[in-house]
Amino acid sequence: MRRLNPSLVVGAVIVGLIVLTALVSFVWTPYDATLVDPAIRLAKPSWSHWLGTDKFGRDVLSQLMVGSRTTLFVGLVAVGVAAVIGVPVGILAAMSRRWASEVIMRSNDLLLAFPALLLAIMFGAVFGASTLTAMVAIGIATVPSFARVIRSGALQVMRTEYVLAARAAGRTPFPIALRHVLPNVTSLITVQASVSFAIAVLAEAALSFLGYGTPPPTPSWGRMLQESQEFLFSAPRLAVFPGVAIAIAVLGFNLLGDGLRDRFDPKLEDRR
Amino acid sequence: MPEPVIRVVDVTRDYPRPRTSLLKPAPTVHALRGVSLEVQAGERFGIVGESGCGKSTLLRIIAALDRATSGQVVVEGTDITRLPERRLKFLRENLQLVFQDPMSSLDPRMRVRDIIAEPLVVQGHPASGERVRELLDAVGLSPDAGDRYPHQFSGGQRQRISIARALAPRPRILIADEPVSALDVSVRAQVLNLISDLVDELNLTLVFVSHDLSIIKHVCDRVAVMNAGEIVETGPTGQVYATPTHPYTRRLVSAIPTLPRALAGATTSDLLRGAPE
Amino acid sequence: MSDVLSVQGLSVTVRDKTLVQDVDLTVGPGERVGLIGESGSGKSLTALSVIGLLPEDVHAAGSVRLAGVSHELIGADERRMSRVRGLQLAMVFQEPMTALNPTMRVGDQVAEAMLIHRTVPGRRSARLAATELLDRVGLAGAMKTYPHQLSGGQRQRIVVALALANDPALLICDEPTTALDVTVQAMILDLIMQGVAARESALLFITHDLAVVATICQRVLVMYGGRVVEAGPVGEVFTRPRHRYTQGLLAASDLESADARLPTIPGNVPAAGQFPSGCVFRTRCAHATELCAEVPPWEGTPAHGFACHHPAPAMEPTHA
Repeated sequence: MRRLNPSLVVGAVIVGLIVLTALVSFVWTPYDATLVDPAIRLAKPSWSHWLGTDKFGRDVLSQLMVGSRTTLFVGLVAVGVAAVIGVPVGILAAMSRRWASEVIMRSNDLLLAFPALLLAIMFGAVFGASTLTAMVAIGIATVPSFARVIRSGALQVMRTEYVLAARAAGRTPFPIALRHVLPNVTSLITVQASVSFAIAVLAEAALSFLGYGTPPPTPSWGRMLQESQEFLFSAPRLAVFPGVAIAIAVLGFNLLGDGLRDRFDPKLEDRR
Repeated sequence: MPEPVIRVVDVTRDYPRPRTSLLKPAPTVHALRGVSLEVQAGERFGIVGESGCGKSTLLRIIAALDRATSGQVVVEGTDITRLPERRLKFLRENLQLVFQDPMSSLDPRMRVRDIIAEPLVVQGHPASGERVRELLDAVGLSPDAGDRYPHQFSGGQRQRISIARALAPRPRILIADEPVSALDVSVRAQVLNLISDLVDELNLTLVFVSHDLSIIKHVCDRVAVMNAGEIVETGPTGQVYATPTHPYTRRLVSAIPTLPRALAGATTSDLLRGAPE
Repeated sequence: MSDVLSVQGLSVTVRDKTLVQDVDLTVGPGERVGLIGESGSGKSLTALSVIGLLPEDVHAAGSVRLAGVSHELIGADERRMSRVRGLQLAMVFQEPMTALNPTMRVGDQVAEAMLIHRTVPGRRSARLAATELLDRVGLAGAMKTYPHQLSGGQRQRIVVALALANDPALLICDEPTTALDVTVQAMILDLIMQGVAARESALLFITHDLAVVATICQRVLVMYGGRVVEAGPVGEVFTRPRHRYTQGLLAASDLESADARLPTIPGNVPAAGQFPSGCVFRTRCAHATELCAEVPPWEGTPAHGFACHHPAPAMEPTHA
């Protein structure tokens, strides 16, 4: 038996809890997360409102729960966009001739040098601020790091003798990419996806804070932070709760990524 | 003299190195510097040389997995030197390879039966379970081996799987690149015997590459000795081994430690005989 | 004279697996002993136990004593071991690239090896001694080069020079030439031989290559499945093997006298820790009987003997 590695376990538990919270929020939250009740504005945590209420009297716990859906949604969209573009680009770069590969990777570097948030703000300005546009932008901005990692993995696969054997048997490049390269870089894709997920969650929070992310009234951890600004001294808990939620989620996905990387690393793998 | 199965005429291969300076042109590595050889049908031809001598490059050029910078390669009467991939179908069917590293030569994500059937599928032959079982049997593996993954096998067994894959399209030429270098001594003998038997049974032409002249001598009829991108000596293996003429071959032969010589009292300074200095 | 190295009842385990069991091994002053075995035989783990460099979750038990060192080496703490390593006990590994620091000039590395143990009075004399040492391994001009500027064979020569820098009582070589070409191997082997002869150091040479052991060693121990199955003078063991494994190994590696087909040992080498109980070779042995389910006792003296229930007849030379 291989021993379980702690960061993998902790990461998986955190991510699992977030997914569970999001699922539960579809069927049950303590209160309607968007229900405004001026009578109980800025209530302190109590038995009826575990984490208190915000400036509109909305239940903070309910908002956090529903906000986890936004967090997962943005992660999925951003990582999906990044992987769908980044993986083929990386494999293509690894399999093409030297000059073509150079062209692909240098344009990749160009995009890498472009700040992700700026790109998202530009997208927001052009297509209107929404969770989807913001996340497509974040996804596009993470394509280069995906392409880079996948390319280096694919290059290693291309150097193996089983790819040579496949070529000697007459396999052409496209089937080689599909049958040999892609299955052997899946572990890299998984690792990169969980790390990018964390980046996307953070980016969404930042964009919502700046007003370019999830528009109201959909609850989002980032916007909860932004709305708590004016009460930073009178009711700091309003900033603390979403802040902690974001930190834990980012930590969870990063730990999961690290754990998966250790697990897939052939040097650490038990040779049977 | 019949037309040789493989004819290599004055082949060179240069690789550009990464540029080291913006002002100077990129330096080139001359991996092959005018190599010529002929392999007759049914022959067991050995190529011996040390790391970096160009033997692997030569193999890849013969298998059309790499292209010569100049010169000509003719396989079964067809000049393949500048043939595009789509016209190499005959070569992909008739010439197969077995590689050195039993870890990297099998795709870890594929089942053994899919690995063995791959050349058949590629070439549009029906890949029957029957044929796969037949191949597994030919290399001495049990039929249920097909359901497993490469990592469940030992080095010697993986090399058997490699050989089964190479034999799948019923090739006439088998190229083996250091097929036993990574194996334990007690398993090496099994794999050498297997290759020998299959070459006999299936009337294959064998090109066997190794850094170890004593293995080549055991397996091959004729040998070419390579050094620094050139063939320095060619001849019947027994003769090259017993009376090497080129200084490099002499150095190579005397450097091989052998049990009989060691037990007769040979020391390390005897291994260095023939070395310059 | 007492032995330079004395290993008694060495066992190496990783979690629930036993990788080396009951290994006894001695090396006399100036003696050259070979430890031969295939993958999973435990030969490298035996060497690593002696020098105390086993990986973290691998544990050694038993006794390892070195002449001139007052304490037991097994279980000795890192501080005590570091005083022994490189001074009385030195090791050459298979991979010369990883044994050298890529960011240091090789001359400084050799000089430092001597400064660590204060075998030279100061920096100046260390540099002088290093220059002389490099000169003796035929790399006089290499003082100021970095490891990556040298070839594999040149790097291994540096590693040998490093290992010999403090005139160790025992030099352990673990497959030092496996990654090298035969012509380079010849040079390294000669260098090791000259080096230990000049210093009267003892040598423990670990390899899978029978011919290499026969060329440089006086005595040989054959390991299989984590146990020593046969031991004795090279000339005896390699001409009149008694253990069936040694016999099979010799026949299978004899490319010289065999005709078209080589004699083989059936089956595969099991993965480490998965050898059978009793005689470790019984699953591949043509002579195995029910008796072999019990661990065969050691026959003969510790220096010359074997552990086999059905040994080859005593006077059957396989190498004419």
